[in-house]
Amino acid sequence: MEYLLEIKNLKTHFNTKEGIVKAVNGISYGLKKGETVSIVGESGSGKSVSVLSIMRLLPPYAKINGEIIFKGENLLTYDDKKMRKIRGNNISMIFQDPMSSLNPTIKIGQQIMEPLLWHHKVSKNEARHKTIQILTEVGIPSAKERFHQYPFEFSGGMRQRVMIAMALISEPDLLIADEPTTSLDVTVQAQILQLIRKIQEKRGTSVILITHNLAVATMVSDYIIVMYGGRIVEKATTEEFLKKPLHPYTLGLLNSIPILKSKKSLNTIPGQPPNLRELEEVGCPFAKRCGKKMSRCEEENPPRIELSDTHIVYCWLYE
Amino acid sequence: MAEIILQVENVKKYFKVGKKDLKAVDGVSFNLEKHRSLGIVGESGSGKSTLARLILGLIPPTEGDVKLLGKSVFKVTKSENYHLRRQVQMVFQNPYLSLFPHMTIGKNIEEPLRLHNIGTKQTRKSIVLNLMEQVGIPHYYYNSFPHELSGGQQQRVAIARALALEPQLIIFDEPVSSLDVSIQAQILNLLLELKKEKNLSYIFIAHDLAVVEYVSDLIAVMYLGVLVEFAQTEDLLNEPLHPYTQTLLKSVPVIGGEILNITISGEIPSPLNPPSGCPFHPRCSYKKEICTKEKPILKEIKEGHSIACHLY
Repeated sequence: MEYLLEIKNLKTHFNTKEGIVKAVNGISYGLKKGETVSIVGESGSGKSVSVLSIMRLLPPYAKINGEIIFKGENLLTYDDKKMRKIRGNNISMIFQDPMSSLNPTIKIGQQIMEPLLWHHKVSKNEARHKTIQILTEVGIPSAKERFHQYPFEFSGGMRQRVMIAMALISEPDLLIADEPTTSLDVTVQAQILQLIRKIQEKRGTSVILITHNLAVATMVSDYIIVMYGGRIVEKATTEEFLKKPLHPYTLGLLNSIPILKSKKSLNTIPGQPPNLRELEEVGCPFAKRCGKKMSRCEEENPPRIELSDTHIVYCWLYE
Repeated sequence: MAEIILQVENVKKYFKVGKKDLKAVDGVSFNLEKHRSLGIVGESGSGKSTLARLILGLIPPTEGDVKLLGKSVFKVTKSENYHLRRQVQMVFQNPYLSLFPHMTIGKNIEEPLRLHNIGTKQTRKSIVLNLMEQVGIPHYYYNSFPHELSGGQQQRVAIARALALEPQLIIFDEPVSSLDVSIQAQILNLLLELKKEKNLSYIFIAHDLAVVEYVSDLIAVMYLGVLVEFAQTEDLLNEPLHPYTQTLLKSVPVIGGEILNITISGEIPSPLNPPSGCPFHPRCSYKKEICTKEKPILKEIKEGHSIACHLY
């Protein structure tokens, strides 16, 4: 099957006064229709910047290189005007904090139908009808009344449902969710994850989920990508990932998560995540904290090892 | 029986919002023995942070009392309070906001010692360097400022500062929730080591059950200002009795787990408009008629295992 989205050697650097921040350093992956991929990593791993690069929601001093092929066309060749036709239409995004992504002075209903009206898809009446329909679909009771309410009248979980409604109303091919449940309580998180999956199954939307929570990633996605220091260190189907995680960073991450009722003691990864200004061009970004470091790890870029068609690890250990 | 360090006696805290009372904490009682750690879990709005501030005596209660080492934290004289305060310290969620940004790391850790007139300038410095070593901050950071450190390191500094007065009880309010998982594990292990070395008692507030389990001997589950379940960590996790605790446990994402069809719906109600009877009844699938009318009280139904539920 054709890829819906194919990222090829994506590099995003920021030119700042204090030097170049190398947030994303050459990542590649593909996503087919209806698939969900989770990108996991800690703060500074480049996971958010990598998707903001797809949406081109970055400041002008960001330099994006590589190829972002969406439905056969390279989005990086698009100008701002053309990109505006993609955002909220073919690709939608939801963010971590629903309150700061909603306009507090505009009624919920108006905000949800905005993408439809902006992209001239339907008439106002039809848009209103569709909005009420989708509000019901994402589990907001008495949608007709709620249509006329403001964001502050909604709870955190309900606001995230509104965000999801807004993202899905134009029936995008791709939904990008950046930490969509991080600010929510666990019982509400479970509801929202359930909702995202239900809607995806029904509509066949492809999803990129950005999360720091490995458990959430394994529960909702077909593929998992682990990022560190702006690079992909491991990429696998969720099944392969659970059965045979390989990269020392992936293993370190798995061992440092407390698991309910497991009674295991936590092994920690020593040191701190890397400073993106001081990242070396060559060598493995994880080498400094890796317990299995060899001399070549800091001298050469790690090789791409294919363990199967879908399981790829970037590490000298498996050469 | 072990010595009791903390007694919380039917403590209530209502905040006035307009003409209404916001019942942040609505009658909580428990005792904590020395050298034990109590985890408090609950969702946002459950009152766990307000409870922490009451225990520290930072805000006056509407009703009830908190006794630290047998003395009420609200009824002590000023000079007694001064000594009592040394026995309990707190570590907050955001380490950057809780450190003085204009003071060096060394000065930040020294501040409580200075305020309590402990030692001379020289001896204080050696105490501070010693504390830095204990929490794993290299000495060369002594003259650095908080913004030069990463979040995990800042939290270590906040922990060092809490240890400075050699307290018996430390309250942690979401101490690792702003940290990355690999750093979170480092801090959790540090807390376990320190507790053992210094024979400390902990109150550990967090929303992440797995994190709470890792450091706590006992767990209290809060919901809308009340304790709904209180038990030894193992008993609570292996045999949760309150319907809310059961759903909470089921909602925790598990590596490789399935998204279950969670039976719970809705969210925690506003404490400004609490439901009648049991605060959990609108979301509870075992709801009976009595639940909508009468508020259940926390009672011990097995040794060391208490719950507030009409089902039992």
